[in-house]
Amino acid sequence: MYVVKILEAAHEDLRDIVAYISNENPTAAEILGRELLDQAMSLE
Amino acid sequence: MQSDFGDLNVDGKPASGLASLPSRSSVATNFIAGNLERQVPGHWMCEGWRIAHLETAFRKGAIRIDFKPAMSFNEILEQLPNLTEHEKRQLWNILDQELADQGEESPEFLAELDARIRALDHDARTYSLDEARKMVRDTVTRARR
Repeated sequence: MYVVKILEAAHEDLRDIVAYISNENPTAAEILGRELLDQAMSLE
Repeated sequence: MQSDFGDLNVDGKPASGLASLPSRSSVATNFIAGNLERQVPGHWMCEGWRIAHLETAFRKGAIRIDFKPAMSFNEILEQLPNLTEHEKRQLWNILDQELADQGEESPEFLAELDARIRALDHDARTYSLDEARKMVRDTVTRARR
């Protein structure tokens, strides 16, 4: 198992990704953002 | 296989097996003989047949193994159409695995990875899962306005 830390760089990357997709499809952006976080935290 | 060094009739097993020894030339008998003790499986040993006999037979040319030279790249390409679909898939998987094992990350990617790993040791700002989820929600909310 791992300890997952959400670093500032990762936080910013995720915000950029979600913001970019939100321009076209906010709902999909929110789902994707949540999914990415869940997948990352599943490593713990 | 018959020779004047004794009965070496082993139903062809040595000939096919020896082809995998680390030599491609029938003239490299010294090398082959030197490695026989370690590399010839015990089940090849026949009654009255010893490594020393085989070594002598190699040296005197009584036993000869003709190794086929390796195929050139162009020869391999020429043979590709003759492979079955299954064989092509096998080849694809082997090459895919080999390339993946070589690690093809760019220098920029590796540098970024190093920087982020180092940041862990320097008390970099980190975010909790709740904070990150809130950021996602806030970002989407701003986009909806």
